[in-house]
Amino acid sequence: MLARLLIPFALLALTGCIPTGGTKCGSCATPEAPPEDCAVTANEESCCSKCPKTTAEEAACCESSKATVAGVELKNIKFDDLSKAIEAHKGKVVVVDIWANFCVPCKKEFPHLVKIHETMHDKGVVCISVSVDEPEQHAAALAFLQKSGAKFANYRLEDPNTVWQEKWDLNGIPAVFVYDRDGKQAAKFSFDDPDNQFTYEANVLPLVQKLATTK
Amino acid sequence: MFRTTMLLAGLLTLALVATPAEAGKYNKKLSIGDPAPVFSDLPTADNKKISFNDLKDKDVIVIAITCNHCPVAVAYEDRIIELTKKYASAPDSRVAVVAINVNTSDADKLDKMVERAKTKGFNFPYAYDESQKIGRDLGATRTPEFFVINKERKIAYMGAMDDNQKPSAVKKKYLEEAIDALLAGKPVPTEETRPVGCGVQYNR
Repeated sequence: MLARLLIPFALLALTGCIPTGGTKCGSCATPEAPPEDCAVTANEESCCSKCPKTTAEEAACCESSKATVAGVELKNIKFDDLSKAIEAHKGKVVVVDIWANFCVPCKKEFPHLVKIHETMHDKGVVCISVSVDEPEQHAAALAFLQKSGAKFANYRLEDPNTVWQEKWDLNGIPAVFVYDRDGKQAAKFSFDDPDNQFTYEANVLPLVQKLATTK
Repeated sequence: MFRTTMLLAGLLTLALVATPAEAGKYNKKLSIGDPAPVFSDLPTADNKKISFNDLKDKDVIVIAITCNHCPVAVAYEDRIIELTKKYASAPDSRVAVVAINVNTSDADKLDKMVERAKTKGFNFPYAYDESQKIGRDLGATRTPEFFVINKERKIAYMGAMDDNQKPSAVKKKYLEEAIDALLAGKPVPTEETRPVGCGVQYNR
C-alpha cells in the first residue's frame, strides 16, 4: 500500500528534478535531500550539467531530466485554431488548463495536470495547457513547462486577453475545462467566484476519473 | 399629456441606456447598488490601522484590491498613485482611495507590502486583510480590481480601472468617469466592467 502511494511521488520527483537544480545541485536523489526538494528548489542552474553524478540514482535523474526537456514544446496558437485542436480529440476526455507564468495559483496546481497526463494518458485522457502569457514571457513559460515535465500539447494564445475572456466568459485564470468523450464541455472550473474556486484534487480529478471510466 | 408621455418614454429609454445590462455580470457576489461591505482595523503598510468607518466623511470611496506579486497589479501602481493625487490627496477632498491586499502567499504578506509601499512611495493606505474577508465580501477575484462606493455607501462601480494595461493605449478611464459622475451627482456611465489581472486565491 505504501509503495503504491509512493510511486506517483517518485514519478513526480523524477520529472520534477528537471533541467535545473541550482542550490540543491547534486542532491537530486540523495536520501538527505529527497527528490521532491530538488523540484522545489530548482532554479537557475542545471544540476545535471554542473554537478558530478555521484550515484546511479542521480545519473538516472539527470537522464530523465534531459528526456523530459526534449519532449516539451510551447506553440503559439490563435483562439479559433485552439478550439479546433480541442475538438480534434473527440472520443477522448480532454483536460485544458489555462495558465500563465505570472499566475501563482496556476503554477501551484500545474503538477496535477502533469500527473493526469502521466497516469491517465493510456486511459484516453488528453491534457492540453494554454498559456495566456504575453509574447515576452514565452521563454519563461516554456522553462516552467520543461521544469514541470509537461510532455503534452502546450500552447500560448496569441489573441489579446479580451478575446479569450469574452469567448470563454472568464474574468481570468486559473481555469480548467474538461471535455467528455463526445467533445462536450463537462465542466468549466475557475476562480471567478470567491466561494467556489476549484482545485484539481477536489474538482478536476474526480470528474476526469469518472469521465475516463465512461466509454 | 402626449408630451408628458413622450418625456417619460424618453426618460425611460435614457434610464435603460444608462443602466448597463452587465450589472453583476462579472462579479458573482455583488450587484451595482448593493450595500458596500465593510472592513475594520486592517493593518496598513505604514504601520497604522484602517477601518471603513474612518472614511465616513468622504462622499466617494475607492477600494483597490491589489497585491505585490502580480505584474498586472504592479502595472497599475503608478495609476493608483496618480488617482490619489488627483482626487484624494487634499485633506478636504471628497474622495478616499484605499488599497487592500487579501493575498496570503509569502510574496504578498505584510512585510513585503511595507517594502513595496516604501519603494513605490504609495500615497494611499495599503491595507492587509489576512482573513481575506473583505475580498470575499466584495466578490473580488482579480488583482487589481476596483470598487467605487457612493455617499449612500452602495456599490456604484466595480471592475477594471481602465481599458488597457498599457497606460499609453488607454481609451476609457472607467474608474475616473465613475468618480467624476458621483462628484457631479450624475449617473455613473459604465457601472461594471470585467476586471483584468491575476487570480486571487481564497483559502479554504
